[in-house]
Amino acid sequence: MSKLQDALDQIKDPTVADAKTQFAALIDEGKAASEAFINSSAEQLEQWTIDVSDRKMTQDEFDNLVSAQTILAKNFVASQALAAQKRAEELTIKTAELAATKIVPLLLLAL
Amino acid sequence: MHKYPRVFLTSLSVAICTIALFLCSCATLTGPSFQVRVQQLKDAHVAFIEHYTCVGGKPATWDQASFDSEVAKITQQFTDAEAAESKAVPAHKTFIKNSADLFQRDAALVRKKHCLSPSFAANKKKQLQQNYDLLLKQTST
Repeated sequence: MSKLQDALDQIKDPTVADAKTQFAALIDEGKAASEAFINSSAEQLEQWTIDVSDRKMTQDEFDNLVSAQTILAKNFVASQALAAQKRAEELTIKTAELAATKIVPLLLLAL
Repeated sequence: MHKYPRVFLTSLSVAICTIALFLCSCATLTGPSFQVRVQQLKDAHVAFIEHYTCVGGKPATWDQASFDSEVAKITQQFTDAEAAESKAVPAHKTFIKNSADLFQRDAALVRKKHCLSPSFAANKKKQLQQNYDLLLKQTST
C-alpha cells in the first residue's frame, strides 16, 4: 500500500470517502502525466499530504505550499493550449484545492 | 586600389574597435540579463528559507530587526528586478510580481512562526526550483 493511501486511511469520516478516492485518482493521473509541471505538482502534493500525516508539517505550512502552488499552476494553465487547459487545471489547481479543503483538515483531526 | 591602404586599414581598425567598445559599454550599462536577475532572486529566496529553517526542531534566537531588514532587502531586489524589465515582455514583469508575492507569503509565515520545519523547507525549495526553472526554461527557448 502506498504512503499516500496509508495517510488517507487515517481519515475515517464516511462523508469524505468519495473525496479521498477522487484525490488519490487525481494524484495518480497527475503522476502519470507527460507534462513535467503536472507531474511534479502531483508528486509534491502527495509528499505534502504524507508529511502532514507524519506530523512533519503544520497546516499553516501546508496551506502556504498549496496557495503558492495555485499561483504557479495558474501561470502554467494559462500557458497551455485552450483544449488542454481544463485538464491541466483539474490536475493542478482543483487537486490542490481538494486537498486543502477536504483532505488535510480531516486528516489533521484524525491524527 | 585604395590610394593609402595602410591609413585606410588603420581607420577601419579604429572604427571596429570603437564599435566593439560601444557595444560592451551598452551591455554593462543595461545591467545583468533577465536570466541572471531571475537566478539572483531565486538564490536570495532559497537562502531566506534556509536561514529560517528550524534547527533541531527549535527556532534560532528570534531577531525581529534582523528579520525586517532581510525581508526589506529581498523585497527591494524584487522591486528592482521588476523595474528593470522592459514593458516589451509583460510576461517577465508578471513572473517577477508573482515570485515577489510568493516571497511575501513565505516572509509572513516566518514572521508568524519564527522558523520553518525542515520538511516544509525541503518542500518549499522544490517548489521554488519548479517556479524559477519554469520561467528560465521558457525564456531560454
